[in-house]
Amino acid sequence: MKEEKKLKVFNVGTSWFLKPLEDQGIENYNLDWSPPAKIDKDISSILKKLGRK
Amino acid sequence: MIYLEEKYHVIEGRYIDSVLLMQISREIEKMQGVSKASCMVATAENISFLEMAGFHPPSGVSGNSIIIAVEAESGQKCEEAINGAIRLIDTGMVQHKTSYTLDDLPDLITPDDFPVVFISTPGEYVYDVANKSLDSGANVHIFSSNVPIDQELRLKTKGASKGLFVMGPDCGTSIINGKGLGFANALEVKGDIGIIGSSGTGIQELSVLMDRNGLGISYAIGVGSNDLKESINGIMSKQALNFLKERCSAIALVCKKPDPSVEKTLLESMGDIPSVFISLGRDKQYSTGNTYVTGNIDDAVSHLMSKIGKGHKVQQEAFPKVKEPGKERKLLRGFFVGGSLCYQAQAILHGMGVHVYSNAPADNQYKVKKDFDNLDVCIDTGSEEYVAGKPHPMIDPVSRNSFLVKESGRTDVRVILFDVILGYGSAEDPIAGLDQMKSGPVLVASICGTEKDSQGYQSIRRRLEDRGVVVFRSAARAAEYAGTMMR
Repeated sequence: MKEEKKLKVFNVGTSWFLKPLEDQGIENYNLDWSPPAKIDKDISSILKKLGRK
Repeated sequence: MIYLEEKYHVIEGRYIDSVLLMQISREIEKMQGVSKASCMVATAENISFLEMAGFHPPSGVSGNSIIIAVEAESGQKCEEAINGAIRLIDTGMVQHKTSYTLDDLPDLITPDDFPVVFISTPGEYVYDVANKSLDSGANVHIFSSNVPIDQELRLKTKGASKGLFVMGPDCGTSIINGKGLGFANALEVKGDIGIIGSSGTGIQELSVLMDRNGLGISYAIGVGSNDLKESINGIMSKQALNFLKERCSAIALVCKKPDPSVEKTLLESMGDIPSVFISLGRDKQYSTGNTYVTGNIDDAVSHLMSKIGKGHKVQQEAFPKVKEPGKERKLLRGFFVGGSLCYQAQAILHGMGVHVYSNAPADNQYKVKKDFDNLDVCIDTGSEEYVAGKPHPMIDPVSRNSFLVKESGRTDVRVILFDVILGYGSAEDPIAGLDQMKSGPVLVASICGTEKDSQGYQSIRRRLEDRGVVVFRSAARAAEYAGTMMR
């Protein structure tokens, strides 16, 4: 049998599943995340004309 | 006569996850003078849910917005509740705030770790998060659904090349060295059996029934429902198989509708290790080498008991005698939170000649959407059309349970079948509201859970039995009983 490594969990998204990790004594980190800003179509086309993405 | 006021507030272009919104809704509903309140992502589905709940939300709200709806005894109370919700959104309820981001991952992982990034963002953002995690040397567990298949393939190919797991997408459950991720049960027996599962509640049901019979689990690798399709070609199932063979004394694989070529490769790869291959709904059992192939979770557990158990057999639960409903009651109505349990129930019922329709059909000729009022059905209330912008019914069982209450009041329903799933990640009270169920139809439930689960198996069972529900430990057995009641 292999020697087992220690489970370490990094959460991205809802914090709902963090409590179960804590209840089981699992080392965990909640990583800050939010969706990338959506660029308006008009602004996007202006940026493209300016040669930028 | 009490006149109630309604007010709405829309926050444009803001992302808050649906679970947090559910928690905020509950908080503001507790405020004095508030009769009902709801904070939701303003999808079309959720707007109609608000209308069903008696609200009159404004039209033209964008699906990228959050809508706060409040009904209270006065306009002022509505305003107070809305302001309270905004405050909670902005500050108060975002727990576990940290200063870490994905960029910090490489610094947080050490060589002694089995690192897993647990991803529950909306599906469209999963690829970037998972890709970055793999680049940092972490395994990923993707809880989110709606990840395009080409992105899944790219992630899994990359993961396999690095020896990392990509669990999911749409993966509810994994167990790593005895510890549960996502929805998992507090198992009592220590052991070294490994599970590979393309279905979350399939893994939970299997692990709980094995635990109940003294078979301990060390690993369950959730691979997601697409992994056994030709397009993914079992990339993660094969990797899990190799991983588990080095660590486990027996392996159980549970899946739904595997593509034949992938199934064949996996069966050939099982080797000599004692194993069961459960393709839910399959109607024939056979053995190939040291692998037993079946369609039923209970049958798989019985086989494992005979191969590696301590000699005792699985006790099949008896069918209690109940008062037969009148002949005017003809319909079977099943409402499930567990997709795999819904699927297994359909297969069992079809096998008994009860042809149930479903939104997630085991047999495609019985596909139905939302117009199923006068049909025998097994509905998966965790499927996308029911959960868009809302928490999964295992987290927030209100809408599923309201179906059960409503159906129990009908005079043409003969049998109501449902599942209750306990454990980590599941609602604190998964049967909230079911004390309103009427006892005209035969009420049949299965509970997937252990006494160590925080909800407590016996306590949930007692409450259901007090309402006249016939309760089984096994979802398969509950479906068989429901089928018997339809004869």
